[in-house]
Amino acid sequence: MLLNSYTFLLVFLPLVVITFWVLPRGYARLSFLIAASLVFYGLWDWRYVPLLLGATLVDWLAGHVLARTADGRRRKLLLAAAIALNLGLLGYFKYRGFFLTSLDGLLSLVGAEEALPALRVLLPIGISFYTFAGIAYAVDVYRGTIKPARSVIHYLAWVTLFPYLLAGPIIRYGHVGMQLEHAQQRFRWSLIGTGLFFLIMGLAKKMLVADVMAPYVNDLFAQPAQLALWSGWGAALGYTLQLYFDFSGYSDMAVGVAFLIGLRFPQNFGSPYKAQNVSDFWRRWHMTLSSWLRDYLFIPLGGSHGSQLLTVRNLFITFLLGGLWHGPAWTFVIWGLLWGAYLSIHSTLRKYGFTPKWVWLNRIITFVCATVAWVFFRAASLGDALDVLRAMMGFNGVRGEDTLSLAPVLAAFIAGGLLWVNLLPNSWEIKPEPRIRYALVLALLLTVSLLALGKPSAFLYVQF
Amino acid sequence: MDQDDGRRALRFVITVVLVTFLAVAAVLVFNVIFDPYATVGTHLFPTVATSDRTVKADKIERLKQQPQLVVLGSSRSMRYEPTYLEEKTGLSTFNAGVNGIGGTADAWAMTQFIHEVWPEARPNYLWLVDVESFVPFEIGGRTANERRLAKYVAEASAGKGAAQMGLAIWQNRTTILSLATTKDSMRLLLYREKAKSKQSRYRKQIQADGSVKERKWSEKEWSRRYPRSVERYGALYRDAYKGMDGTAESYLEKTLEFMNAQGAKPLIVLTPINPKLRKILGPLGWETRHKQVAAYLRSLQKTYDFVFLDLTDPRDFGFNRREWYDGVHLTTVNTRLATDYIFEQTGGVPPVAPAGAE
Repeated sequence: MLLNSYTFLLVFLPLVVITFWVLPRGYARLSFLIAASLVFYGLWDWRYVPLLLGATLVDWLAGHVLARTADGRRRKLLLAAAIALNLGLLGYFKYRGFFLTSLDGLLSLVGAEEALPALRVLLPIGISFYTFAGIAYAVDVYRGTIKPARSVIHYLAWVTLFPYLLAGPIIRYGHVGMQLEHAQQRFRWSLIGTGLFFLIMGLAKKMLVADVMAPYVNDLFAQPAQLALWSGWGAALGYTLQLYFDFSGYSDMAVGVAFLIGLRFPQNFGSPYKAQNVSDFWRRWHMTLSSWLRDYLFIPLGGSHGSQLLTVRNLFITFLLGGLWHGPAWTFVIWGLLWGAYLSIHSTLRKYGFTPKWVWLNRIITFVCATVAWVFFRAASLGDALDVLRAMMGFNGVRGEDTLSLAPVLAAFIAGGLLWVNLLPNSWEIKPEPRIRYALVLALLLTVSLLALGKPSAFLYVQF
Repeated sequence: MDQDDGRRALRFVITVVLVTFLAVAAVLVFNVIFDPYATVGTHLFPTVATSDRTVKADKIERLKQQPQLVVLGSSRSMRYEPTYLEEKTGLSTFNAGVNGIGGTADAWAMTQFIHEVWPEARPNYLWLVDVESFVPFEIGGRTANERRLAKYVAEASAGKGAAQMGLAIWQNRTTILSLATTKDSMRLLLYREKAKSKQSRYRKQIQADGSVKERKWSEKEWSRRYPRSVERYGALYRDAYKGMDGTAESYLEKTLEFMNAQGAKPLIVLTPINPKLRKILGPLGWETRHKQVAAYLRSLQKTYDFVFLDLTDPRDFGFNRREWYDGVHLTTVNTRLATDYIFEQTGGVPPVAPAGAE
């Protein structure tokens, strides 16, 4: 079930919200939430529900035992086992095919004639998100920064929580899980109002901006060799904006749905294209992933406390793995390495005081860096990405636009989108008063978004 | 938002929900009244786009001579060129294929209409049947909404009651509640003339002999359309096509009965599918349905007189791998190869027996 579908918005969500608040606080609500989340997940592919439940229960058990074990060595072993389990699952389902294909390519280079057997393992939706949540939980319990979940019901309710399960944000037990344990809010209309605000803003971003741009961007990326200067930039800028509106739209919707059931999700986007340097960009883009990578990978590797060389190494490792987290493809590897390089250069320049002082110049440099990186993120292959970059640099000339021109609609959306992301506040910065005029604007946005649901398309981050 | 002001928040929420509900309901009513694609059947206003049924009915009425060979089938049959068929058979040919999955009812309506307009004609038929021609379907929409054809599918069109309209609204809810439909309803309301010009643009694509104007293969079209065909047919086999539809069968059989009674021995050909798409659809049920449809058609040969050729595997006619618009639609390069093969295998179009002959 998609978050942007009639079934979810008009049937599933209202039913869940009403039933949730009608039920008495405590285990009844939590059990209902688990059931609803499993139905939601099962409607994608019920075969993976046991996998989700199994991984979740093992993680909970690991946390439970960790909290009761005093012996340092045993605790380390337990933590390693929990991390290995989650990474093992992720590796099996997400990367097995990739490594075998790469190995196959390598073997054929050295003259092996027999191809390795092809694998057709479907990727369980949301596995990247719930395994990362599981790892964070085990590490936090190990470090003692959180207490283990009060019960398996609390733990299940947190891991399977349907608003985040498909495409994030990555939620931590210390934040959302604790709310399930302690807050158990009383029903308040203001929660519903705030929830509706985020939900509608997210839906509008997805349906009225991202999805309108999508066919044009897809058309351009389908024929990278035919792109020229304008269409090349159209493809890159179009995707840069499409991805932002799509993913931040999903995150807003997830936050909105969480509010409707009395939970506060963390902010996942903070106007990333207003970032003044590449490091600032990652404090604003997919904030829950970047903070996860910082807390559970970059800092344990040594962070930026050692020599500059070590910092650079840590940045490269973190972003290489961050790239691979998105998917098993060389384009993601290059994307990760590119960000590792950007951040290393920035960190080195900053150390020696070589960063420009003009805000807008910094913003433009950062934006162009991100746009170039998104080309690798979006392209079907490295060759395609290089074709797009070649076109953007003018190597294919300005001619050729007659074969693949930049549609006026896409150009208009790019211009409007650039103004939006640079000048307007993000959803978290808007404080809508519960006044009729705001309600009317939201109702209008919701109506038009509902009318655009005829051709629902999955959110881009669902594939990760 | 001030979270303590419960009353203001309640008013806010009610306004959002109520205004949205009223706005969506208003759009629904508006689009049902204007019904720009004739999906509901209110018939209060003309449709924005003339359906291919209407254009083909017009062309049949304007034919200069009675047709001797009629091509029937879905959109997959529309690229079979009457001029090429005429060259091969010497018979004056008309392509009566129309868009839409299912379509045995369309074939029935078309044969009846040709007979009505040209009662003296005794054409033979090249009927291109798809494996998907027996998908469970409703004879709604286009054929039922073309006045001249609707009477032949009477059960689908005879005065839609409120319940039937309600059902049509429910079945087409995503179309009716869409921005595109609302835009077209507005166009009907405000710019009737512009809507008409869109009709004439479509009309120009269909030529006097019923063929569609040639469109050359392009990488761009293929890369856009092929994934859509995978998505569309994948969903069809996963969700809907679990067995052959009785209504579709009965339309096919009564059409055959009519053709035989008119002395015709039609050539029924099961249309090709791109091997790439077949690989994907096979495990989803295509192979099973294919066997079932082929067996059904063969079994009908005991009752009806027709020639049957299973052409689902395009390798049989040495197809050109590139010349597909998507997973099922051939360009004329391939329809010509298919035509040559059909005639080679069947010995050409069987002659029509004189009226009344056994």
